[in-house]
Amino acid sequence: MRRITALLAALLPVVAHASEGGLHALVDRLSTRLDVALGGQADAEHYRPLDPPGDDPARAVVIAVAMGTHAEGPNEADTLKVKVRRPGDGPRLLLVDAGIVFRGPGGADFVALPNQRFVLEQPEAELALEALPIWPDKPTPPEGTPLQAVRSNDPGLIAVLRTVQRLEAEDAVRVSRYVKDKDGQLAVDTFVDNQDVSLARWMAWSRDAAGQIRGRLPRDAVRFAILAVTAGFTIQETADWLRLHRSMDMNPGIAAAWDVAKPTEYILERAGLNHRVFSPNHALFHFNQGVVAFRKSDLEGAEKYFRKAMDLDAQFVPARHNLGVTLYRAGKYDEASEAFLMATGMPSAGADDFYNRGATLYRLGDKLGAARAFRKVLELNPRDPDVESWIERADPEGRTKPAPAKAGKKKKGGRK
Amino acid sequence: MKWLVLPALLLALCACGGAKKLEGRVVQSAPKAVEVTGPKASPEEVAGDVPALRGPLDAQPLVPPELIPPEPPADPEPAFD
Repeated sequence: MRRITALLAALLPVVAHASEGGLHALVDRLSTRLDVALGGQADAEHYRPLDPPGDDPARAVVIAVAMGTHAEGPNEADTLKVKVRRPGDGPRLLLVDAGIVFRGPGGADFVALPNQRFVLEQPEAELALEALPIWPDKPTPPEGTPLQAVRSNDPGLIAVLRTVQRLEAEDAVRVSRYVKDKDGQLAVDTFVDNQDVSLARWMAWSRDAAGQIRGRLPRDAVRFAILAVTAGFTIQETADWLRLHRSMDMNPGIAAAWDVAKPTEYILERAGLNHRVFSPNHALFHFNQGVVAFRKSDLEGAEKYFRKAMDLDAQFVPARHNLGVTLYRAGKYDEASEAFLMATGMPSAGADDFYNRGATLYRLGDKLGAARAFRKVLELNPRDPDVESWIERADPEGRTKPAPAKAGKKKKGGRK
Repeated sequence: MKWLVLPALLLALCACGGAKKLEGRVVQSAPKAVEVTGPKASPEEVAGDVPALRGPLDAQPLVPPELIPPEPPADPEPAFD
């Protein structure tokens, strides 16, 4: 609320003689519903075409977009030159929301950072929008290259951008209580240690035109959250990107990637995404790496990753399942059997865990043990296509039918 | 006599199941599209002497498809009060 009040205070001199229609009439939004007079070709996989500009004379229209300056250092963004035609006579406030993508040649596509605000005082204005690329390895077009606007078709990208918007517009107001002004320098000053304080420490703090404190997330955290959803970045690709694009050596690149990992993960988590795939702090990261190694037939590497995932989360059944598969494929049938035994001991074990346990025991010659595991598969999935024939082969005499046998004994005893 | 060679070859192909071979190629190319990778099943599994192990569970994506609606939600109205 203080933020809005501050904005209004900044606008008051120009609002005083604004046209009638209330405060809402003074605000336009640069968003997926952007009114633009330029449109780009969209491919169905990533982008959709923009709706044609509306007939609403009260909305601003973007009439040209071109590449601006390139980011030069860490936590900097590229800029786009956006030419906007203001509707009506009065000054207008333009807010940048999430989702619009500006396409450059060669697939160099940019998305405007959300939560930017501009006052349109003149009938036409050229704005410098902060933007980040959404693909990691496309060459940045030279300054002045025309760009076209499309709508993003990527729910992950939209989720990240909206989260950044929410964090900077709402959460920053809440956590600004930890920020103190020391000789004109804004810095976090508290002994409290919680997630809000961490967020406050990650943010860059400044004062707006009305003197109110504003917090912005580090651009690199937003950059790598975007690249995580568009290009599957984990901390490994982040370190590689830093080494390539920032000319960092190996160890400084890795250290920088770790610095940016926590705020990046926080953005991904707040966006409702599976943030645990991003860094080795989580079992899921090692699990995914193990799957990649397995697909490359690197069984030794896969085993290490799956074991690491189990170390971090002992209840993570998929890691135990995949470890069993890896060991089996490596010919370590005894160890595979142990892994499947552990997996099937977990409450969330599924039919495939029991099936593989049965398959491993069958190979090891423990046919009755295999039959018991296969019977458990039938309990969990009565429509399993293979398991009945293997029960027949493993236990043709039906010696492993526990439940009916026990019930029969009791009945027999009762009759006696 | 050269002009007789091509028709003769075609006839020979048809006679020894050329069309079937073409069908076989199509079927063989299908698994590549599915990207079956990683270590192969053991000969005993292929022969059906032991149960074929069920493959590893796949990697989990960053963006769970069930959590995010395909259509982005509407922009919130700016709040002034």
